Amino acid sequence: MRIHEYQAKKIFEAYSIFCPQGFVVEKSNDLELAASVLGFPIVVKAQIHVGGRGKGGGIRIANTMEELKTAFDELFGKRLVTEQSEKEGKIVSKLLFERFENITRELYIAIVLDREKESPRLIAGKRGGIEVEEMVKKDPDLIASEVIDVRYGLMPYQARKLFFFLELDPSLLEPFTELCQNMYKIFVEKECTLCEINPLAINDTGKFVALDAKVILDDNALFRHPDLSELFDPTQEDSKEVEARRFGLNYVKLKGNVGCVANGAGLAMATMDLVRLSGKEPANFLDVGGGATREMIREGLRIVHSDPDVKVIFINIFGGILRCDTFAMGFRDASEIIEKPVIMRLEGTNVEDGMKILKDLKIPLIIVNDLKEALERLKSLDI
Amino acid sequence: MSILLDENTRVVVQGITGKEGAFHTERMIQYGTKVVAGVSPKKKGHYFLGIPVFGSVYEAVKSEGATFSCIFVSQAYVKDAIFEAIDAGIKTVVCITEGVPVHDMLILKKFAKEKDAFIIGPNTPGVISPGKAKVGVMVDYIHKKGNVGVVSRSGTLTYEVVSQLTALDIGQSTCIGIGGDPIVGMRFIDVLSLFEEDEETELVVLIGEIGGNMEEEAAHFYRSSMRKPLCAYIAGYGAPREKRMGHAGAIISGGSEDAAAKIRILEEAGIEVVRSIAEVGEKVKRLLFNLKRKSSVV
Repeated sequence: MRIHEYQAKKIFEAYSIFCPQGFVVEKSNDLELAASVLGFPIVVKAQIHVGGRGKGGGIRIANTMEELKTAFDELFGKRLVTEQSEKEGKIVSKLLFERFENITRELYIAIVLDREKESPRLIAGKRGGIEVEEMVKKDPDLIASEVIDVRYGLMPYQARKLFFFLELDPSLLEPFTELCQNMYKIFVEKECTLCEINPLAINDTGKFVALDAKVILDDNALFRHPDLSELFDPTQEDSKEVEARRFGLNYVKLKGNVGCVANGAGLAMATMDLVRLSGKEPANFLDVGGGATREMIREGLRIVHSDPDVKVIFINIFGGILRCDTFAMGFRDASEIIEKPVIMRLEGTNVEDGMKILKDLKIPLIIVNDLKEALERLKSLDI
Repeated sequence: MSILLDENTRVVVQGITGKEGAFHTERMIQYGTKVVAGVSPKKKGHYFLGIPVFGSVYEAVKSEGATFSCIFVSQAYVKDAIFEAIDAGIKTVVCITEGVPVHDMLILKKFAKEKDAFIIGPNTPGVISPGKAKVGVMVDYIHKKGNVGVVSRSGTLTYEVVSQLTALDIGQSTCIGIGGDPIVGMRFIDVLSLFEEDEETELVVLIGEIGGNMEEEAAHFYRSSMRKPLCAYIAGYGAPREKRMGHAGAIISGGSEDAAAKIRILEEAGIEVVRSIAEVGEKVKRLLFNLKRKSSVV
């Protein structure tokens, strides 16, 4: 789960990591107060769950009250489009106002989950503000890292190694080691998959400042962290994705016009691939899951059907634990609202019972016998 | 032979009296699996389907000689359950539970390595050696005994591929779901090296997906250490970045984690990659035919 920068910074501060003094602003009458406390210039940062804010105009510097008001009006409640966002952008429902820091140097530091080493990895970069992947591509010598053994935790010598790599002033050795240890504490205690400061700045008083903060939490561990679960911001997600999750369904909005429904994540991905192979583009990915109930199936189909981009629905079910007759009943329940054509492949446990249920439905339903036939049908579609 | 299990493997089910545990234990027994013990601390001393239920895995190992465990406990208790099994001397643990916290898995993997134990999963349908035994929840009637090994990150996609194989009269030696979570116990290379050693397996089908680098690792392993043909399919072509595609592990966070990059790396290693899921069965059939022709020429 992604959380906002201001939320991540609150966590950082609780672990003694210094962040610029700031205010979260959600209404225009907060501006005066924020300005009087912070003093100009003020950095205005749109709080959205997507990168590329700077280039997209989501980060501004206001030198006067006038400029602060303009920045507020131009960002607040609007949709911000960045290089990394969907075409419609992300809604800005909160702004972070921060005291401007005079900085002398920008660095990169992060603890990531390294899936290859199956361990956390501490990464340091000599340059801040750019994506670590970009940095690796441009100049791998700018990056150094240390794999952390979870049994023993981050050792101070590992942080020191990176400190010497960064060629910082010797007076910063202890603060740097402490910073790394604190980040590792956050990574473990909050069960993160990413804990990143980019840029990590050194200000004109020689102190480390977390100018930005990014934390990604492990969704599967949230049951142990009710306080962190509350940080979820539904405004940053596609509304259908949020709705689907409520019914225990995995739904992802995509760019095309063929609705894709399958049981199981792998089969749903393969179904999406099949649509692309036919020369069409999937409008979404819906995995009703292994233990889907009749209700879940009905709701899932309703969500897919209600997407205005969807011109046709392609259903690919391989019944295992989910029985074909259960699926067919859910489909029959949903058929009252289905107006768009449906191509369906139904196979597996109780398939004959399932077919009987589908037989008399008065909707535009094409049943295919296998995936090859499905591919041909998809190819011949005129959409 | 088959890998990991056969008709003599002695299985203990942790969480045998739970809803899922009870349901699938019965099916495992019907399939012929030797389920010799159950563990359910609160039902210690009871019998379930004629199987003794113990309070700990340690007792199940000592009294019934279990060597293989199947875990049906909820995500909060998985870490403890796997630790207990491995500490009691179990060498292979199948963890069906989905959504085990990543940090738990990081620690469990270190522990398993220290003790020379295999963890299969979490979030796996399990492992089956058709005609011999199955440990897990997978649909079994679609399988047929034979010589093709199947290893996959996805349950339903395994069913899809297996049913295509069986329909073409191609049987399987062992089918393993390694699980769709970001950190899983056995990785592709662990399973591939077992298949490579297995006399019964002639060819291996690998079903991968976006996210992580296990497929890349498999490609390097194939190039350096495998003689048997490998046929691969990678799911998730065209999936967007940083979006979780159902599985927690199916998320593209780096450039080499998308399907196109994975396919390229596999093909560069000389692996046959099938683009369309509809054609995996037929591709395997052709590869097996070529293999027979080659061996008959020799």
